[in-house]
Amino acid sequence: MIFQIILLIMLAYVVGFIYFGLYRNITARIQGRYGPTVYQSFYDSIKLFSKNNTVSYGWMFYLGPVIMATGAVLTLVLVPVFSDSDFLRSVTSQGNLFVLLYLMVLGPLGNALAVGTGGNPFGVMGVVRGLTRLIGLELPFYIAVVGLIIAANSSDIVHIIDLQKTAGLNIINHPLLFIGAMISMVGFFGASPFDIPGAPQEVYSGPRTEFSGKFLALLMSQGSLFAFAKLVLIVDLFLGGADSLVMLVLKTFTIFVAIIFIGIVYGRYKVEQAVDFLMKLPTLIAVLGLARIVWFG
Amino acid sequence: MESGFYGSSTDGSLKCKFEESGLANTHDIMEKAVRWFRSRSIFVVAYGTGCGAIEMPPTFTSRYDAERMGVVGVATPRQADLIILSGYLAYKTLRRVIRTYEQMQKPRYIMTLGSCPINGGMYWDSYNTIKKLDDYLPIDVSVTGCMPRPEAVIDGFVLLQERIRNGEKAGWEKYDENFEFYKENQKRVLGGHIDPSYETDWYNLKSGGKA
Amino acid sequence: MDLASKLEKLSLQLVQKQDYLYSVTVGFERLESLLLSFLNEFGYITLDSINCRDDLEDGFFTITYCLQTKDRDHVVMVQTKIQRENASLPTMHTIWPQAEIMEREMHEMFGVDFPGHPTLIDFALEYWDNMPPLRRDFDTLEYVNSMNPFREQRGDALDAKEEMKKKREAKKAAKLKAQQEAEAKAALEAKNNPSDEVKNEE
Repeated sequence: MIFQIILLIMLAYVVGFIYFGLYRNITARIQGRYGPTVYQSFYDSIKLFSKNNTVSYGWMFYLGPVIMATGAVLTLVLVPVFSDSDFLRSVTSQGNLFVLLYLMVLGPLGNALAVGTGGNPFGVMGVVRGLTRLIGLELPFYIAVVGLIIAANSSDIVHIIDLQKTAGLNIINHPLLFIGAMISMVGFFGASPFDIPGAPQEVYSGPRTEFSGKFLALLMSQGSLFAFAKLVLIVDLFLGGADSLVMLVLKTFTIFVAIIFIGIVYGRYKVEQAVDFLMKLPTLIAVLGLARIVWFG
Repeated sequence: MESGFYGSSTDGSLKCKFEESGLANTHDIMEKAVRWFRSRSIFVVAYGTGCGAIEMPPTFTSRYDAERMGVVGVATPRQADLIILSGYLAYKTLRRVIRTYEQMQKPRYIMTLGSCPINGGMYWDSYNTIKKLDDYLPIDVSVTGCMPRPEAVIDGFVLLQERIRNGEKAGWEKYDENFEFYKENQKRVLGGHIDPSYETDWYNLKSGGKA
Repeated sequence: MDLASKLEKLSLQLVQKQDYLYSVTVGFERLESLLLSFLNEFGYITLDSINCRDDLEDGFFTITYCLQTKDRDHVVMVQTKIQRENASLPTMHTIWPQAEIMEREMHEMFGVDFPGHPTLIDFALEYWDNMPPLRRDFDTLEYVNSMNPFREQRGDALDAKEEMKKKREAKKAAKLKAQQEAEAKAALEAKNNPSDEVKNEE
């Protein structure tokens, strides 16, 4: 089991970094540039891990990235990666959706604690923006998840995946929930209409302003792990999971490319605009989907 | 002094450990690998002084695209490896540059554009501008020209990458070794006020500007 | 012009410098009241800039206030002269708020004092403890050489004058040679084709 967890983390690390490399490369191609190599994020990570670190603001500052990484790794471990094989699945037999939803908020909280200790005004501004935005992001996503739980009559992800094999994919059965969850997923990835917390023109790097070297590398690594976990979660909930590595990569990559293409064409919302938008349109769509499930099955 | 892949060059303990266990060769290989990764990923904080700041946007955006070589702009000196000083430096700017440079984490590099940081350029007789930047901070790469075109700036990046890959002695090591020399020069020209004062209360200047 | 007659009542003369630029010279003691009447009576609501010229030989600063009406069609310069030693001016920041920063700069660059000014602190320079740098008795070159010595040369620099001379001579020689060659060629061609002239006539 430990071996499987380590293998899973390594897989997520490699795939996550390659996805982020692809993100940068595709963004560059859309902007008419040649762009970096696919492995660029991996290079950055190795370089940052090999850097010196002399910045210190006390133990809470060091603990923040670790809490974030803990949240990411736990989320990753509790999401079932392959639906049919026992490989990488035994880890997840105990976890269900409620635990996952809780763990997904752990990261931002750890971040807020660490940045608050650092005392950098831009970092604090970024964290405040991030947490405010989170209020808007969570609402449609949670409504969508609740709808799926009611439809499947279970909060177990494995059960939801199994149900989709007989009753058809959730993306076809409950398209409104999928749209609501996808819009908030764009925000969870920090893609463009909702990328206000780390807007470089306003608050430098936002929450990451004061982190350097190994801690920045840890933040980047947990970001890619977390991104992979979220992609797998979406695939599990709406696309019926994946049987093999090829299917997994294919399905997660489709979702990822969709998020890139949404992100690249939009400008940036202000915090209040983002929350305003998220609480109106995606929430309405998700609520309609929920109502459809409750009243029409 | 050799640059260690774990950052600090002063502490050779890790290398000693490798040598004790007969793995000095492994150490060399790892160091080479890390140097290669460092050369492939350079985070730049572009400190736009003087006229050269105008050459930065084309260097980093679609036209010349430095990102294809792993050179990316970042917003804070904490995350940066390289600082680009793109023109003349007034005393007031020099204070900020020194503070920014010392906030960067090792290994760190400096690249200057144009002739002003080398010999004062057309500002050689200004009462408020330094003439030779290498008296105050160690320069790794000087790109000549007035101003250098983005092609020249990219050529500077390539040269810096080669130097990192070959493990040549970098400016930050010289800065550590000759710290007294650099601090003395800084004190001479900045009159002891090396750091900018952070006590000015910019919101209540009418009370004399002192918080 | 209307303004000229108004100023004549105050026994001041309006001089036209260019088609949009006028100037009026006033004594230091009447400066403040004149500026006030420019704002309140003549309607010059905008203060463009306050300039200072260092007349070292005559021993005074020439101060120029550039004023505009709301029409923005002409500029009136109100000029006055003050002593260079312990120079002092009334502050105008209560009338025109933008004067605060202009006066701060003038204080820093020329050492003019403004009694009652709230923020006479550093403007562009920091911790400057020398003579104000734009006064003409401040020897910039000497100061620069003492603070920032020149870089030592490598020793392989060439004399620009001599090099240019050489280049020019080489160019001239090449040009002469080319001309001679062209002439020789033309002569040769004329010898080979003596019927050219005949053809042209036809």
